[in-house]
Amino acid sequence: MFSKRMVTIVGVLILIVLTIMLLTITAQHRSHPNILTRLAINCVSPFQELVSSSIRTCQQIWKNYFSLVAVAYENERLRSALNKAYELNNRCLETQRSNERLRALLEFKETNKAFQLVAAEVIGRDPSYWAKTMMIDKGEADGIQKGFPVVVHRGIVGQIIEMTGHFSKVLLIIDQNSAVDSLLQRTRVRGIIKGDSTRSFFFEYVLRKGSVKIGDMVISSGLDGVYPKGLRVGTVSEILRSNSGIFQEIKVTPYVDFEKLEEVFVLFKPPHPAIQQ
Amino acid sequence: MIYLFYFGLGLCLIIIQTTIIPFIYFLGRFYDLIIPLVLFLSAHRPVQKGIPLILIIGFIMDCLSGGAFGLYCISYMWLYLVVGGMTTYVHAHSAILLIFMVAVGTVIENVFFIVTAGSAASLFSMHALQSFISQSIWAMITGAFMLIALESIQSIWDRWSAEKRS
Repeated sequence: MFSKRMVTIVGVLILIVLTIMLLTITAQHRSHPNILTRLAINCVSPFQELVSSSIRTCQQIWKNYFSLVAVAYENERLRSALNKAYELNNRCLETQRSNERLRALLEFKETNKAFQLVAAEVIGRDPSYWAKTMMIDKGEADGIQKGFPVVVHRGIVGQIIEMTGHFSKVLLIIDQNSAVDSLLQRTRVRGIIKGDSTRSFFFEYVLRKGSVKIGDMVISSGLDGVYPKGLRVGTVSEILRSNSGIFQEIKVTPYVDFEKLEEVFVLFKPPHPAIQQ
Repeated sequence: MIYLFYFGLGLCLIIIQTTIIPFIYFLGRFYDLIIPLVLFLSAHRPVQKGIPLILIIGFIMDCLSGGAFGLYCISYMWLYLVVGGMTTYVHAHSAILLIFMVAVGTVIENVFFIVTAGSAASLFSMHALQSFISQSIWAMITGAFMLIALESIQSIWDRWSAEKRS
């Protein structure tokens, strides 16, 4: 009765009409989920949840990893910056302290205009416990000679015992072989300062009758031919008067901290021609 | 048995495109991954067995989608019928045809969606055009591979069934 082609066309037309009707209805009226819809959602959603949570976990791990890498890089950068800041701060402190020392030395130079002074830097110390010497960076080329006194603004340091072209060795007054003819500033009592240790030295050959008190200042007498008169040596810290003997035993604490010496002055006894020029 | 496999595959594709694909931002607007499956079934499976399967898959998609109910079912059904009709006239295994089949299927589905959304004007908007282009490009890049993979699975399955029968 009907050809196959006719049936197909009619079928397609019916399908189109049904499609339009269905879509029109469902687009306008969203029905409540029925049992089949619920079943479909309940079957698929757990898998969706599983996959989604796995992805989120992976994402979180990935993100955390990258943020950790970033933090590590930042940490490295900050450490480097901190080290630089420490270094800079240290340099500033060093400059400040050096400035203070140099100011003190300058002040000393200003107040001792009678002497010819050459500033020198300490470049080495004697490692031995028994010998108290140090090296400075000025030598014969700077006009330094054997026996020249070495001082700082706080007081006497020692004397030159050896020198080369640009370096000299200084025997410190705390060395056992060192001696300085000195006197007490207050009573003018004379004696000899002899080296003992880094912390103190002995003021020897002071007569028992001589008036000595703890805290008295000891200065150079200028009679030894090495150190000019009036340079500070130390203060009396201990007095021992024995029943026998004609001398007192006096301990003197030096003004100079020999452990922390960095810059010194070399005094020219007879003014050097080079300095005079 | 093979239909159960295709049903499972359809479910996997649904889960992938509703969970993994949205997380991959560089993909942008990706096409419906069920379309290659629908096209494959329409080219290789009889209507009476293929249609119920794609209707079930479409139903599940409708359940998960917020659009008009039945939209996926109808889209898949029409795609199935159109491509099924086409395969009687053209060689369905041609690689170039496969590429364009997926792309055209994607565009047809999108037209359905836009028309159903009630705004025919939006069909010609810039967003729609961008969406069409993006989805069509992705469909052409990956759709053909999916169809080839499905054909390989089908041939392996056929061989295995033949061995089992003999």
